[in-house]
Amino acid sequence: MRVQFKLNHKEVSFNVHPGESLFEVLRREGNYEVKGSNCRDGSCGACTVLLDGVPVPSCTILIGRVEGREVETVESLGDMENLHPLERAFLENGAVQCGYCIPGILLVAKALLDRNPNPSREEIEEELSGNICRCTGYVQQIEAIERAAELLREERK
Amino acid sequence: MKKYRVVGQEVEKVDGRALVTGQPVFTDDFSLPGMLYGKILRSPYAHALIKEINASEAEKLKGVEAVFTYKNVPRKAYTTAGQGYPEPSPYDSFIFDKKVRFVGDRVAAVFAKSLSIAEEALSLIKVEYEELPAILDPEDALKDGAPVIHDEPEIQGAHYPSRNIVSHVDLEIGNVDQALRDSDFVVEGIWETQYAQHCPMEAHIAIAYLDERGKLVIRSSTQVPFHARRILSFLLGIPISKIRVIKPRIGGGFGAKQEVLIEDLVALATLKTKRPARLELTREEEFVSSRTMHPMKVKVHLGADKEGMLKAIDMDILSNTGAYGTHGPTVFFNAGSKTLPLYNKAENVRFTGNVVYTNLPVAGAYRGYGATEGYFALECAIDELARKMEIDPLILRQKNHIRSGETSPIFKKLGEGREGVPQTVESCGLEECIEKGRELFEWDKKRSLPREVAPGIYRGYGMAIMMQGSAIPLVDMASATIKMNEDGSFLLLVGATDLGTGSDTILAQIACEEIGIPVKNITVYSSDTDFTPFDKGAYASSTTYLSGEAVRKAARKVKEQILEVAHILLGASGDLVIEDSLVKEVGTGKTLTLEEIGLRSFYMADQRQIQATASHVSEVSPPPFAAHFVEVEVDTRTGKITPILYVAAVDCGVAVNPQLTRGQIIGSIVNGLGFALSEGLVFNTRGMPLNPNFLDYKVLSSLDIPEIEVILVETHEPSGPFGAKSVAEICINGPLPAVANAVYDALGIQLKKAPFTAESVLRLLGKI
Amino acid sequence: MLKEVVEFYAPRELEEAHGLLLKHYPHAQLVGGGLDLTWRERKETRYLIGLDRLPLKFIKSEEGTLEVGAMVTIRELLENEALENVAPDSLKPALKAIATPLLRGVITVGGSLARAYPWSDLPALFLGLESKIGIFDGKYRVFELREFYEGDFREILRRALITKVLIPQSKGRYFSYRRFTRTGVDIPLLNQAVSLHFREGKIEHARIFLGARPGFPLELEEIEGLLEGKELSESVIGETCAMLRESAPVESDFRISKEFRIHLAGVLLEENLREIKGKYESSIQA
Repeated sequence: MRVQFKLNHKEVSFNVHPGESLFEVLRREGNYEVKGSNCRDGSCGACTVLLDGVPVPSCTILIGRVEGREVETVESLGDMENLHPLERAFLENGAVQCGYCIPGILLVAKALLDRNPNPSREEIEEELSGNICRCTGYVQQIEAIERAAELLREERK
Repeated sequence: MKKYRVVGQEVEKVDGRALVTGQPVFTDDFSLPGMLYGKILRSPYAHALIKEINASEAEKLKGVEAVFTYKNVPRKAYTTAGQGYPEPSPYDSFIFDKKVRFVGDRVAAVFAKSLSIAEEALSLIKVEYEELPAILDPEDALKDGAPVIHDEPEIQGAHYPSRNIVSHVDLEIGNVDQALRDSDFVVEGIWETQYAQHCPMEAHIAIAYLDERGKLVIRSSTQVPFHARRILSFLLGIPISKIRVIKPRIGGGFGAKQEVLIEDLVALATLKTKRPARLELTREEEFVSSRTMHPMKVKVHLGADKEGMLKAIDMDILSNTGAYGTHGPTVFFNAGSKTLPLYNKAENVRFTGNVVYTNLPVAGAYRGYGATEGYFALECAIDELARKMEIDPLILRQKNHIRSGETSPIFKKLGEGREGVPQTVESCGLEECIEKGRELFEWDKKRSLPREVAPGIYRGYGMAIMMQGSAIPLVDMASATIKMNEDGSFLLLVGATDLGTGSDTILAQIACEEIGIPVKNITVYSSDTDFTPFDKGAYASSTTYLSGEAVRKAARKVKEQILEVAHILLGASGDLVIEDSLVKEVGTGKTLTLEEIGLRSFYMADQRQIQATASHVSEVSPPPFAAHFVEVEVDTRTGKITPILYVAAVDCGVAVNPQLTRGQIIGSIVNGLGFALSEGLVFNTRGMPLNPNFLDYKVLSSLDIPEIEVILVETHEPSGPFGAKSVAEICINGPLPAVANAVYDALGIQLKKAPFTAESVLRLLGKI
Repeated sequence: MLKEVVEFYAPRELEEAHGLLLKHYPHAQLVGGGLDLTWRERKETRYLIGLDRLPLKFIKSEEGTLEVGAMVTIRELLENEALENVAPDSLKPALKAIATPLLRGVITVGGSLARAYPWSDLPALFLGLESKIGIFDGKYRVFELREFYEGDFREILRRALITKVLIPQSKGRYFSYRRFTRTGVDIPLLNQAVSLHFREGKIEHARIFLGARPGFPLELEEIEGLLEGKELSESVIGETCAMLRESAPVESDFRISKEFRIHLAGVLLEENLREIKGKYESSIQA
């Protein structure tokens, strides 16, 4: 069947198998910025995308549900030349080791900061708890999100 | 301590931008036309013979291009362990065998045009099994009449396979039994660790294809590209010159990828069909059919005199290596070699034990590599000894730990599955680690407080000290090539394997520090067996220390070549230095850009490529040291342990990149806390894992971590590049004993079996 | 990928959705969040009926009842102010502990109540809140959730859709919910919902459900009987917890043992009752 939706602010249309997940379709169509731990049950958070602004594990979203909606991947943040403040903060704070969980975590952080520009440390810890990072132990990532929140608040002034 | 320009600075990770923007840099971010997808058929039995296997229906399924079983693959005993040749692991594995040895063992593999077709084909393979009695407890492996798991005639390198023994050690220095009898204080106990899995976020994955020369290229998420090449060559009977292994970015390894786990299958598929072939493990396969930590039962017996000096340490281990022996002997040796020298004041030391086969998942290399299991026992025993002596466990440790300038006979006696290498510790900041950690943690003040802080809620304070090693002396080799472009920029080619640890970055820093250039002027290429020189791979905490020194040597040679040209160009009589890409004559103010030197050398006069390759082998393995302190809260109504504060004071020599160093320390601590609090595979009575998923295999989340404070204690290791040692593994050894000791401090109960579940706490308290 | 699936429908009307369910019975499955489908592939499922376009995403408060549409996700429910009218200070923390922040954006109220995994929180939670459930099986019907679950609800739901859950906003009700987990993010290994209605200082009506036992939530009628008509005093709390420890309807699973669950049942009850006692005492002082 054919599915049409917005991907990183651009209209896209794909031929899909009706039993596919959003994750499978995105990867198949070359969206390698979406990673997956192959847990296939939404428990690790690596494949997180924003669906109408809400962070969800894309491996749990059947593709038929995405028709007419908005999907954002980490490509909606920054690029190699122009980093998003979250991306910059993660880099500067040692919050990136292998990088495999990062696209998912950046999107969770973005959705959090969009909703709450000044989150407490507890709120950040709570919001991150659905994303597993085996390399960093989370501390530097939480600090990076706090730093990014600061950078974003300054930008808005 | 000396201040460097690049080393010791916060340098942005060289692959960082690509990672945060989601660039396609991992193995699977890559697709070739006509690529085939592989799936593996797994054994449902813990121990069985394959009486018959019929793949004909599967082969006929439209879209299936290859099906492999024991009938159509080479039969050669090998080891999957990514280690130097000759590997100190038994050759007891086959691509496919007529026997399966654990639930999840390989039975067959299918490669098809899509994953769906491959999955369907698996269900068409008909297998007739004859179930055999299984060994699910390592104690049972040693009993008379136990089933023999490895009865194949081709097996090599296992100590006594008909008794299921992979490795055996009986080592004694001095007279331990006498020393224990003469001791004023003696403690004894057995500590047990669980089946833990690395849980790298990227599962094992490999893609094979033939390049335009018809050469087999393997793109793999591996920690050991060169070992993979050699082992594949051996296994498939193809010359090394016809194989190329490339490691792109990896989504975590932690030791699980120090194996040649699936590359053989994609290689076979590509060689047979001439098409690219891809295989990725599912998360369930990652838990069950890749590799795990070695569950060990570690018995420690300590004896000390009235003054608190250790007289004897006796460590006996029963290590469960699962169905195949990869890393079994070496991890076992390491449990002793990285722990016993820490307390070198004990003149009588005994290290004994066995590594046995069981019909359970295969244990392999896991960060810490046996030291984690060893320290759980040793550091808990030390605390018990301190309690018997009624002295502060910190003081007992201070009296007995190794110091700079000292040695231990264990260094020579215990190496990697064989004898080791004698060494003297040249850099040891452990005293300072203990003092600084104690201060920041407020050890003395906290231990004077009442433990019950609210009805039923107790706080406790525990510590542990530890050491590890840096590379394997006289065995490991690393090399590096540096070449200069005509504009004064450089290329650094290293075999060294960045797992996300940041080794590309710190090696760039070392090269740049030595040459005198900023990091932005060097590009790092790593881990391509054709284009980068040899490196043993990422394990044994060797990249900074060993690969770093190879890089430094190559950089020094390149610098010499540059200065040779500069001398001529400047007509210099004085000393020349390179700073920020400028060659300067000391005292005269004459300068030259690297570009001027480059252009001349490429095109104009005395033309040559400024380039150098250097290798390094180390004669010693200087240990990093650490002191850890943890505050826990225990709720005696539910039994739950909550870590509140964790202080780690670490001596890794000179920290080449403090941010990355901190990341290694915190990451390994959180993993260690997982071992202590919640991680572990659970099996049913038929050897089937019940929790091979993140729902029930509990990895810690951001909600579970305590406040973690890291103190870097700097020392200077003379044999390390700019004084660096290593930091990759050591801190994973702290949490098990520190938390157990803290819980004893809170409640007076000894947790001796990991993980310390709420239920186990309540049982020890007698509440259920 | 669900290989057997051949079509994904996106109906806009309940009658249409129901019609498709009947037409393709037993090969059709409803897709709320869809989590169940990705967790458990059923070979016989060939048709998927997406519920996103149906008018099932609403939260409205009317005449003392909070109505939550079946397609409301846990995350959306958490962000809604109306929660405070139902069970101030206790419903939010209970919902916040479910699954992970990511999965809370996928799990729907209807989906969770329909699947009712043994370890689910929402069934126990809504049972404890004495909720009703609305379904559509060609006609709109409303049942007491307790009765619905006592019947063969899985069979009913093969030919019906959950449309909403109705939670009474009762002024006299004091509510508390507890769950036991291994780490900060986990399925409950035991959960317990307690609703107490007071009249003149005594417990007039008690509703207590124990779930993740590891089985489906069970009403603790004996414990309710022990509490009704009494004041919520320390001794009553002690007696009730002791009784629960004698009789808790729990079993072992590979995660924790029966003995531990029994012990925890008592611990959760004590915490729940103390929380309610605290809230009740502050409210009568106010």
